[in-house]
Amino acid sequence: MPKKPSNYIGEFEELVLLAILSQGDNAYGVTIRQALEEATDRSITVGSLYTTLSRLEGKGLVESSVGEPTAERGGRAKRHYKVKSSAQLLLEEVQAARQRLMRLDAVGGLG
Amino acid sequence: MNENKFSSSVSDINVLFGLSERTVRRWTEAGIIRANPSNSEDLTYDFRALTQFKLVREMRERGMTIHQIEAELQGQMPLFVADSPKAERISSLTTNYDSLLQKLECSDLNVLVPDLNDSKIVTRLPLNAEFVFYLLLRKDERDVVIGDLIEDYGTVLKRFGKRRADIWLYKQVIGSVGPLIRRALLKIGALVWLGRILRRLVS
Repeated sequence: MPKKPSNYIGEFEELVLLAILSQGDNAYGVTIRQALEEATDRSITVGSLYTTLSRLEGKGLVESSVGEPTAERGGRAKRHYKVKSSAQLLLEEVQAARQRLMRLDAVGGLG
Repeated sequence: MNENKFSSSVSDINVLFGLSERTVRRWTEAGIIRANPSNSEDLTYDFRALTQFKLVREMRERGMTIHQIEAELQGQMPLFVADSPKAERISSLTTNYDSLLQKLECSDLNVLVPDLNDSKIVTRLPLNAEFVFYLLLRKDERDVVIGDLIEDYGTVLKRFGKRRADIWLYKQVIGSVGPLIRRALLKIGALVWLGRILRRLVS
């Protein structure tokens, strides 16, 4: 049930969005989880990943499409994820806000 | 195999492997497992047949159909090389069940059947793991998540072996329960609140 994009995302949601972006066209559960584990050095369970993915989908930030079933998955289909352009804008805003705050912090530190 | 020092009845198989009499007879009739030649109605099995029962049971647990097992067994025969010194030694040495079972459990099977282990493709999760996901996942997510786990399990299995892969899988399943239950509770909580608000509006 995609609704209008929310303008709030949590830390893990942000990481998941970036991980999806990093995988390009090949973003599905396994590759997203691997990218996250490599980047964060945390072990990520499928449960936490998929609850986050469905939440992001509910917020209208990602869209998914069912892919082809393969033998190494026991004949089960993949689900490919794509970050919507609204989410990319949101990510940029978050990054910009962070940088502004860090500059403020630096200025405050000087004063 | 004319004079069998070692022979097990259908009920022995039942005790040893938890297979029902019907299953034992069906597999025998399908030609997957060979019973000792005899004139009577009662089926008996030698040691090789016992190891085969274990093997076929494992293949069934992996979700293979009888036809697939038959094909695989025929493709990969001989499972039990007659002149394998190990097989001969074991079957001539052992007469009692306990030491036999111990040998079976100590994966002597792996020595006898190396091919099968290499070509192991996992097609299903253990049933208890699948049940957890069945309870906690939405219908449209179930296949996707289980497919992901199977794919990853295969990768870990290839790289680090079965033991590590099993541990990895259970960590994944147990770690997934928390977030999934939290999501379910949040959904229930939201419904309860909605109900309360509606009731207030109505009254």
